[in-house]
Amino acid sequence: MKNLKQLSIFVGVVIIHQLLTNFIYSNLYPIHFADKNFFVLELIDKTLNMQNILIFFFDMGILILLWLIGKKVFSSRFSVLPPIIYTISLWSSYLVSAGSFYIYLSFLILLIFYGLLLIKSNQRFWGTALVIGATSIATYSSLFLMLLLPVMLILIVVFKITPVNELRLSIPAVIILILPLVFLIYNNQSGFKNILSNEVQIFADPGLMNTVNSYQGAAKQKGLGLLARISENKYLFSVEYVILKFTKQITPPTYFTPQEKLLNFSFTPPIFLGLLVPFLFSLYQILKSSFLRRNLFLSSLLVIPSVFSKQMVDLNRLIIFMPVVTLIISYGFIKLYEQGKDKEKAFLILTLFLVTFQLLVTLSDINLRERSRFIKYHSQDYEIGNQ
Amino acid sequence: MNKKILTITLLIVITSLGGFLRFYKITENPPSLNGDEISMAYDAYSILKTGKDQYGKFMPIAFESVGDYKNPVPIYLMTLSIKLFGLNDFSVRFQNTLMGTVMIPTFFLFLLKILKDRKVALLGAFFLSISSWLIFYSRVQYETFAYLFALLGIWSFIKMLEGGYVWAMLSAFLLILTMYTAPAPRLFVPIFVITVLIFYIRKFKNNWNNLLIFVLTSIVLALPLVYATLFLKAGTRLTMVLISNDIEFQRYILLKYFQSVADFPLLIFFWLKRYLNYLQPEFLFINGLEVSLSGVIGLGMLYYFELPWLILGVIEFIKRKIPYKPIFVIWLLTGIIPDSITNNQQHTGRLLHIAPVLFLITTLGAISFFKWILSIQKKYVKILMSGVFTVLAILILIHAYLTIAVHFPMAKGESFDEGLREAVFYIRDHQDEYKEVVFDPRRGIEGPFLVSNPYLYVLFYTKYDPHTYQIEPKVYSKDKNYFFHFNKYTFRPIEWTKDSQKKDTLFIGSPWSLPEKELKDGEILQKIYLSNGSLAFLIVSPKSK
Repeated sequence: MKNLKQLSIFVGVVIIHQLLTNFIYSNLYPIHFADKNFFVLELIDKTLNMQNILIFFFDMGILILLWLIGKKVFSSRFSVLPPIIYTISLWSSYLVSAGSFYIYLSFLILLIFYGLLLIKSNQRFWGTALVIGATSIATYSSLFLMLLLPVMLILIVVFKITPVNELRLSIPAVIILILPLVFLIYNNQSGFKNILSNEVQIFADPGLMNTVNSYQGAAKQKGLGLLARISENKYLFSVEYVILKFTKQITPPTYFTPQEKLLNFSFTPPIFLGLLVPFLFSLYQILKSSFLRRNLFLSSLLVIPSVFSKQMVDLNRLIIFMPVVTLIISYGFIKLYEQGKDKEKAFLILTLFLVTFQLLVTLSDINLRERSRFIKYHSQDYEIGNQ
Repeated sequence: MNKKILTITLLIVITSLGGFLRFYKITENPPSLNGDEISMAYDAYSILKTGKDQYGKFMPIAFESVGDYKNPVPIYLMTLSIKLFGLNDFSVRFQNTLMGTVMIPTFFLFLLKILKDRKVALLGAFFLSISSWLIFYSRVQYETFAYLFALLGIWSFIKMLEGGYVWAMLSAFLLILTMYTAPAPRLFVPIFVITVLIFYIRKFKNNWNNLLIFVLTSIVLALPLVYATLFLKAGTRLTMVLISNDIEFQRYILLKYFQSVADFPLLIFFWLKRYLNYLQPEFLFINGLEVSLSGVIGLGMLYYFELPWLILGVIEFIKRKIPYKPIFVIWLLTGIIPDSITNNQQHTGRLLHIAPVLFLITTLGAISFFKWILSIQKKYVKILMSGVFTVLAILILIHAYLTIAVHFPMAKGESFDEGLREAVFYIRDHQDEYKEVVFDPRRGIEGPFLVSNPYLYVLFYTKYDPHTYQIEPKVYSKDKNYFFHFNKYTFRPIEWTKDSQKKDTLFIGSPWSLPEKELKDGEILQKIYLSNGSLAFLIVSPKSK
């Protein structure tokens, strides 16, 4: 009976999510990203574009996985919380509407995560199969994930999040399965370099180097050239810039305000501001636990693809980090609910009020202005650039 | 006893360092007095000589200026330094710089009172003394000492909560004084006080008299300001700069002018976005100070190496038992409100009153950081970590020095009206040779897009008698075109095709008004350049054919 209730709530969430996505799609169509090819296919100079309908399905898959993960991570009665938060944050709906490849990658990352949870809960066979399968597909699909996922798997062991014996099959299997890809890269080095330079755009803007030159020139004129050479050089500025970009990916305004524009034009925030309250409360709780801190640190590596983008924050690439944010917010909600004192209750009510209010304002804004806003930024060019 | 002497010695050293960083070449960097400074300075001179401002108003509460009204406290205080040092660049900036320096030991005493830890208080004072944010605003006449008054006012407020009606009166006096000093505290102080009173109302349970004294003193002292704001147009600027007039909001968010209540919900979320933007790392650490060109690595409110300290500081602030902690949280959160509701870009100058909280948090973070470094077991890791961090911090400090000393004058000289002083010096020395002096207020490297007020520079640097200026006839333009004339000075756009016929007239204008190729040999008397080498002004007198 309890399960049926959970299931019916979840089905309701899925329907609402689809309605919201369709609403946004109908308002945004034909705004879309340029097609993105699979990494392995790009290496061998073949093309396969992901159809929009598949992205819709992967989005649905994310919802299901979040529900299943919610069941494993939180108690059963809170399991629908992550899908609810994912649904009321319109971030994914925008990206699905624009045909984002990273929705597919998010799905794979969640599969890996779910696989790890299965391993932990003694369903090793299915868990290992999921980890090996999803990691291999992900590494063949994206250059970033090829570099990130093996490192993350190793760090999971190093940080003692999962004991090494639980991954004794997964890690070697993943390495073996990646070997053909490594071989392919070795044979197509120029192609790989091309892909690398297309994906890693962090220093594509010549502004940083121009700054170094103009700073050093100006200081030299004043007889302070040496000081400028040691403190205003490309190495130091590059390090500062990378740290800035990384910090920017993990600051709350990036997620809870429209500071970074969805699809490079929207005023809709990736996640509604009201959810900042449980998010901060959750962070406070997480920082107190060493195990959760390590988990958080490890999962923050998922922002790296966005760090390496040309923009300060690439919300398309950053979507792979969204499930983590969703789980953090859910945890905050649960803690607020469980502690249930007057202060916590007040925070919960404030959150619900803010989210409802912003949802209404945002939906009305999308309906009234989003298309005109797009035209103001991009005129009639409906392709919003590479992914 | 020894500890006490050591603390005092260190505090003197830290204050002297802070004073040196604030006073060193104070008249050369920023490279010129800006429009606000010059306007306040001539008003102060005018008050000193005649008791009236430049418009002839006797001891005003709000000083009329070009396009807005200035706060009275900085101007009245400036009369003292002008009396002491004469009418010059130094006396204009002196009192602000002095107050910026006085802030260092004051902050030390405040931290000592709150945290009861001399080392932490000294460290906090040291961070404040070397802060590029506070150094920069101490070097310009920028109502900076509002944050000193705010600190003292809030400190007295805390003392008031502990009892004593003297503190109630002093707190009210200092907080209201802050409101007379700078525009941002006019909003910050009432919001802060009301929020804190709601939070601590139980504290007054047995002490209602204190609260009554505080409220009554505040009302009495604030009345003139309220009157000036409502009836003497001192609030003009406030209505001009409200967030509803923000260009980004109207052009890209609302897609029309803000007109009705129906637009209000969107405005709320735009404001919330603006409010949370103060947490952006680029604003806090990279470019918030706007002393370099936008888009490049410049300076923020804090140094880059203070980033981990800020994060650790927040954690430490939450964990540590700090008396009156909610006051600091309210101070920080309400302190951002005034700047966040304006239609301009975020402005670090309007956030100076939250500096004490920010430095309190950073200091706590630094202490945590140092403790963590010291707790590292392996000696070589400890040395490596502290070595790398120290080197990075030194490099960032060198960059900060270069930014202020070299890049800032080059990038921002023009917005500080650089060149006007030199132009007026020429006028002062040669005006007897001409019947009329014509000054074009339009300027700009990229085009004649900036309009300055050179008449104020003429008044200031020629030490024009305020009494004469107040009573003599003046001619103003009646339309949109800039025209202002008094004595032999005319301020208007130059049209060289017509003006080249005027004899015995001295013309000062940018290369846009006086194109060099249209000038004959010998007509150019002087060229004035900006710090970045661009030509700012030409001083020209037409030659007979």
